[in-house]
Amino acid sequence: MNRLIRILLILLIINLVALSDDYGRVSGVVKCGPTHEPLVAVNVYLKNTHIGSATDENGIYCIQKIPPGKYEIIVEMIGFSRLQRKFLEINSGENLILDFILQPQAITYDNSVTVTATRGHSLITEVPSSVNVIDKQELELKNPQNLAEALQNVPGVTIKDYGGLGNTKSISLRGSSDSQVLILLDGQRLNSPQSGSVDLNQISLEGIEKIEVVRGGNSALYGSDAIGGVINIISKKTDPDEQGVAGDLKFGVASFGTYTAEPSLRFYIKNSGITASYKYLSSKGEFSYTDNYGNPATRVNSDIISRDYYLGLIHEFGDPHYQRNLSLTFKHYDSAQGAPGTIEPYYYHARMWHRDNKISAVYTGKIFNLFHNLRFQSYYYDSWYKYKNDETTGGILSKYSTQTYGNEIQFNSVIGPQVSLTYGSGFRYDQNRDIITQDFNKQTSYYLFAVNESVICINSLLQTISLVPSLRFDTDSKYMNHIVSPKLGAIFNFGEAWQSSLKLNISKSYRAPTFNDLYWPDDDPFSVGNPELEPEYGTDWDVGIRLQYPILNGIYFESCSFESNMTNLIIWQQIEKWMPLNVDKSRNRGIENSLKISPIKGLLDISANYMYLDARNLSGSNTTYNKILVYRPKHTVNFSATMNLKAVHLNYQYSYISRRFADASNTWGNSLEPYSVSDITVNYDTKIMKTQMNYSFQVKNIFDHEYKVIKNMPVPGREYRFSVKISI
Amino acid sequence: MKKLIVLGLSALFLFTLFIGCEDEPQKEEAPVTATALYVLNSGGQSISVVDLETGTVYNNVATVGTWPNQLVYKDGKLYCVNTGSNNIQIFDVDDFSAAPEAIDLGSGHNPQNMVFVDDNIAYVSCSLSESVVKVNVSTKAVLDEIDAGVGCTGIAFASGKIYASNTAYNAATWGYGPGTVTVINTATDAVSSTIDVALNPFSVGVAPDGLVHVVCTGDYWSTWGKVMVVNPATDAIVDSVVTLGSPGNIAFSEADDMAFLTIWGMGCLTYNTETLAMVNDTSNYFLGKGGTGAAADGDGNIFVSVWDDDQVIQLDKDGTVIATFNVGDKPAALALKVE
Repeated sequence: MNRLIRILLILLIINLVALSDDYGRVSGVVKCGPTHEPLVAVNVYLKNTHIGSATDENGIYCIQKIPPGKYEIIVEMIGFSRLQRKFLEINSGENLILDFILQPQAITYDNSVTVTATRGHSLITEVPSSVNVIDKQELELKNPQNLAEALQNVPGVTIKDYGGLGNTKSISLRGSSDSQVLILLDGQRLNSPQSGSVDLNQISLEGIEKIEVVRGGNSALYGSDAIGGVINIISKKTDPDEQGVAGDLKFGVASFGTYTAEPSLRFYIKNSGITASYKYLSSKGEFSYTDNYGNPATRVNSDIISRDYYLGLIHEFGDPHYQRNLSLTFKHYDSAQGAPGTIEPYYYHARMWHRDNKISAVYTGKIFNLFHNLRFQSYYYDSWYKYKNDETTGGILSKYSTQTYGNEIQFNSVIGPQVSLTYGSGFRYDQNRDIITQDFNKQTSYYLFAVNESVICINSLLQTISLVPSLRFDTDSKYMNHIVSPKLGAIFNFGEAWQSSLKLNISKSYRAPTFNDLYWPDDDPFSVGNPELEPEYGTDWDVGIRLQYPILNGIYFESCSFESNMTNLIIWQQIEKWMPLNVDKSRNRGIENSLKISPIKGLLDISANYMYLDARNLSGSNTTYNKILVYRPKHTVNFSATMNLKAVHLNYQYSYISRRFADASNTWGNSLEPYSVSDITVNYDTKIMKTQMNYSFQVKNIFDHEYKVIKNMPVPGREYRFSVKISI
Repeated sequence: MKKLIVLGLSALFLFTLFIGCEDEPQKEEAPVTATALYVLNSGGQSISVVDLETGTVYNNVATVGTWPNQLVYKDGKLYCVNTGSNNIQIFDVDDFSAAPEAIDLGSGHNPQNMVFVDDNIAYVSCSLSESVVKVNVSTKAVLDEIDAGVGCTGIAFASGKIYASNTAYNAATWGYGPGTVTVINTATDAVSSTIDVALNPFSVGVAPDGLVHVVCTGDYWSTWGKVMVVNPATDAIVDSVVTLGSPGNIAFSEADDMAFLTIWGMGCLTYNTETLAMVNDTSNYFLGKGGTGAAADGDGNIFVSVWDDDQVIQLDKDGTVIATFNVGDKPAALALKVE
């Protein structure tokens, strides 16, 4: 720990020394190619730095206080091709004048920004990690009812859908378990300290700006549970460009007796904005299925009523160069629903209640000068859960409450030409109470982290090499172990217009034991916790290529081979009682491929991905050793086509999941048949007077294919959804 | 050149679609056997067949329902009691590939064990409904339901009466109430008496001499195992054996006058059914491992399933290992077909 603090201090001193040098300056004009008109609000910045500017009404930009060195300068604006000039050398006191001409964009690549992959702002096409971003437009187009629906077509993702709108949905990344995927809300973990996992069905999509999925081990950035990867849900920020008042009203009706109502209101006056939204969902949830003996049946006790509230406030202050902002978000979610469980046994009267409050405050802004960014976050989460089931021996009544609060401070500093460092620390407190038995558990954790991004420019076929080493130190009151998680990412970029990249990552990650694992009460006659448990460890690597070629209006192809070796896996075993032990090992390996093309520019976008997964148990008896892990399909194929015909947007989605085994010994009779599902969505935008109208019609599972993702958990058949959104 | 690249990328994408295509494991077919040991694999939710003449094992020949608990062989059929599925599956042992028939007991029963009283009529202990259900296995019909006690689990048939043990497990307190045995007259299907026994009567068996042995497991914590012996002629407790440990199921070897009590992870405790003297106690476990299920044939062979090792071990009464069979995942219960 002392060594890490020393390293951070040395880096800070290097920063200060660097800042004492004289600066250079770059300025110029940016014009439109065909017309030579000046372009307003074009972003001009030095890559891998926070140094940049935007053009004014005359197309003029000026970047000041640039430390001497070599840089890549980037000029970009939506609708125009991105310009990148490398090996720009800035000398002390020099005033360099550079004019640019941007051409209207002919090629569209996925240039989404990720804040998760490196804890900074990076284009997903320029980070070594495999990243996907589901942005606001995609969320609006596909109209998902929950987080699982939003994520189901992302490469590397396997959703475990327990069937029906109200039932549990969990996620696996690259064959990991659901508790080996870290789910974040604005950078802070949502995984339950009690069970380690997250029910994707109970995460509100209200007030969500985008969702980022980073695949592969990431404990070096985010700590425990990030063995399979990280999913970061980013809250919506009120846009200062939308001055004034605006509001939406959305009504939806769907199959299985589902109704939704979603009013929202936004206003931004001067430097302050407020966004408030509400979603009410009511669903009877009953659908038809065929039971295990071929008889038709109805999935009863699947109803749900839920309410989502979101309130976001933002205030911006400071001049444009030193802009700072403070945002506050409040989320409330509550639901009451049936809990039918499996179809064998079937619980006709079991009920579940859930209540959730999340409050977060984030301050961001430059400090000292233009080269240092500060982000400070405080958060408080509170959740309450109740489950009642009189249809088991003795009956079950569970009530739990969990409270979490914490603070995190993060600095992002430019420490030299093409070199930046993100570093910080955090504190978090979790407590969990069984309201029935009054069992109480708590933990306090502290962490330090540092991520370095360095770009080495090489003037040859190999254009640049980006290196992203990261390191995190975690300590925890539960088991007082000090865990150091390292990661190294590298990307080699070849060519400019025809850009080919070779990327690789290697990391070590972990998953800490949960409260249940450690402290399950010993007065249970059958089970007991194990306070001696060690964390699960995962060592993983991936290597892949990324191609961005200017053909077919821009083709984007990414292929990645990955392997993850997990040891110390926590498995509950019967010794005298059932207790968790660090016994199992597993190995997941596979290949992910993604392809994006726009065969007809502006009209048709096509994307497809495929994952081959070989996830095997490397422990256990002769019947389970080297067998495929349960619910891990070998083949996952997703295809999506979006057509934009003026005001009509049409999306078709197809998924294929191959056979999955439901038991550790891979018994054929317990395996689940492969299935494919097709969904179609039609959105129509129109304007009546000053009112924007959006009509959305969706058919899920259009061929009414009957399938199960989890044994004894049928999934609804064809579903129709219709919604109208009125925006003022 | 551009076309070549597009073609190349498309080919690469398509090629990777087939990289992982390999033969998936298929289920095994079991031939018709004269004598067999049927193994219920609770992890694999499947049945293995051990051909006792050749020693060949056929794994995963059929799949069973949710929370399978007991296998019973009778007249060419194999019956599987599925607690979670609330049913009894009926397999034709000469053709496991045929879809099994099922007797549906209805939601909220949680059947645990069954016992035949004649060729067609069986009684099933049900823990959740706290009852004993009478079924006709030929017509797959539920004929009657008789109230028993809390946590009705073990069941046996002796002298025209059903003996159903009630564990009185209380899930809310994780404890046990006073253990009882409900006696049902099969002629009238009425409860004829209730016998008070020791804590947590988990299983019931009928010894070769016709006496009913009630295995009281204890609470796994502070009260240890005991077998209560009931005379079915009087329904009175006539004797008891303090076994210690936490015994589960019971099997009798008529050839050796021995009773085998399964002990999870340790094998078996054994005692002589005539003298009730312990032969293998907690200082001297029979086999020393496994102990989820046990069965004995008329020739003095004892079969014990070993949960952790996915094996069934054949021994003689002295504990000498005769054969080891590698079966499916987590073997939990056994049934014998002996011609």
